Amino acid sequence: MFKLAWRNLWRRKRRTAITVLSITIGVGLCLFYTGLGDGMYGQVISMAVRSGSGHLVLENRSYRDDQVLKHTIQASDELIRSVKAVEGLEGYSLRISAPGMVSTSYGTVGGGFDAVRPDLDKEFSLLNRNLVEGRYLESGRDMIIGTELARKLKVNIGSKVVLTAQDRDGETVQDLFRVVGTFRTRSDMMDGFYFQITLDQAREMLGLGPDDLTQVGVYLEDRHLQDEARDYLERCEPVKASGAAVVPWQEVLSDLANYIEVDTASNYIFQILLFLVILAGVLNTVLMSVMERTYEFGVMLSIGMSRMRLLLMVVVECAMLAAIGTVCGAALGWAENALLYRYPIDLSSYLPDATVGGYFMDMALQMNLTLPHFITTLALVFVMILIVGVYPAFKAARIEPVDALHSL
Amino acid sequence: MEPLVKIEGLKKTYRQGMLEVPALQGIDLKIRKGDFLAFAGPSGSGKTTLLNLVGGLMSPTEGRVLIEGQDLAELSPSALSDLRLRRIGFIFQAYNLIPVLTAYENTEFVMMLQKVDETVRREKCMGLLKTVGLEGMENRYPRELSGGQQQRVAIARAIVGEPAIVLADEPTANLDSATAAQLLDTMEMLNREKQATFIFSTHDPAVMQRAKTLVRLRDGMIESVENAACAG
Repeated sequence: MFKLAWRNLWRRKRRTAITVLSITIGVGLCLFYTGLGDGMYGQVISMAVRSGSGHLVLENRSYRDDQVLKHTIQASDELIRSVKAVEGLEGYSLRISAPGMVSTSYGTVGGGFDAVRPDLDKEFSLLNRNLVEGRYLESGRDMIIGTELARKLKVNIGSKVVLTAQDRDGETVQDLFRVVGTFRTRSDMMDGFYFQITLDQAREMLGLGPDDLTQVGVYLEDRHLQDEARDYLERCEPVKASGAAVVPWQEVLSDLANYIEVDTASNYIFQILLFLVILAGVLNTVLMSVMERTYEFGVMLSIGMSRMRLLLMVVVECAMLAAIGTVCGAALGWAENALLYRYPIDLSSYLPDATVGGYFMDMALQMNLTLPHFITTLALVFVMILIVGVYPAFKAARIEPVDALHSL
Repeated sequence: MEPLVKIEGLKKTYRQGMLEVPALQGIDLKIRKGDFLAFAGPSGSGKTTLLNLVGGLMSPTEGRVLIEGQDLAELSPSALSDLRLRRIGFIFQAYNLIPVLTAYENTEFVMMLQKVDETVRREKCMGLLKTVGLEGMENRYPRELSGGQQQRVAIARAIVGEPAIVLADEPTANLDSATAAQLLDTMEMLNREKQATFIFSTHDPAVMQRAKTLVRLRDGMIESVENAACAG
């Protein structure tokens, strides 16, 4: 049956070749968009989590709904050891996040800040990587601010600024800081309204204890390890004892997560539409191939071939067509991925300040197709083509031999 | 002795829109094993319809066909398909080979459906192709064979599964008289040596001449039965 199906497939070589080509291009395009999405989202997520949150955040269970300093957690040694034991950990950040106002003699700007331990954050902090002037935080009253904020306040490296915030009891407190660095992320929010100070100074200013934190940020080498890491942390006794919730970045950066979800869905819709067009071509090929063999099927049924066997033969033909197209498409997708992973398309000169969900995106379009997406796309395409082939197969199996023998 | 084929009160009416066209109007016939029988008659006399009914390719409006005592109407579609596979061989007017299979593979096709072992298949198919005069042409595709050669492959395919009956619908219609005569020689030889029962529907006087039994049909009824058949 396989030999017969294979030969039937190549009866009309040009038609089969065109159909295979259309499947190949369709699969290649689907993989291209999926891979580009994977690459782009991966890049944005990576940049966004490095701007502050982390892939996972440990925080007081009440903090998400009421982000004030009375909802802190205690960063005990046991808790930190649990975080350090996370598989695939790239680093962690201990921080206090709060709203505050920065003032100089030229004006006041309200925004938000993170107080961090410079020794922990320096390695993977996006702000450190994006410093345009000065240096990263080291100790004491150091502060780094965005270039836009620096422009508004007319401050330079070494300028003094006053930070006004509320302590854990809601009282207004003030402290003096010195600008040691300015950063530019190209995100309006980050560059114009965000700044960082050192954790020790923030605790002193805000009247917090030596272990008090609003959040522990967990940074992973691979974002796909997030679920395992979350499960692990939720099972850890010190985490349970601290009463901390383990919050994924999708909840912390919900705007970005929602954006990606909507964009992914629209991508899927586009891919489905693209594939409907290709499936129409496949249906046409298989249907034509069945219709023009009506007499032959009549002969086969007359000499004793069962209808089920005839149906299977057409399905096998379709499966072979799907397999060839899918394999060729997979090869095309793999080649695209290899090429665009190594040589991303640089669009930065066209879109210098592109942001996604409020976060700056490096406009080098890079494909980074994940294996699950690769396999899922190919499997879906294969199954869809098979489903399309079932209709002509049923049509073939329902042929009445006598009618078919008179069809010549 | 139980006849190989028993036809009782067979009627077939075709419906064409509101019109009912009677093709067979009550046929009774017994066909014995080893016969070389031809249904003859003018166009529209019901020859092909009768052949199709005997082959279980359609069901009668009335009456019944029994093959080796088995009423075809009582068989499920799959049982009927299996009966055609194992007990009936078909030869069609023309173009009845599978174009993507070689002469050998076309002959082998029925035995593959019968799930016969490959060694047995090979031995039998090669022998039969030699018998029908196609030795050395086993690997040719139908398009590489003449009409007569294609029909020889069809005969080999019809006989290879050792059916009780071979039904041949106008097998010589598209052939020149010399080729037709050669084919008839082959079929006669197979009838004689393998005791295969041949039932033809034909216009061809050469076939009628060689038939052991000649059943003449007119307007869906038996007009005459000549030679050894037993009219019901």
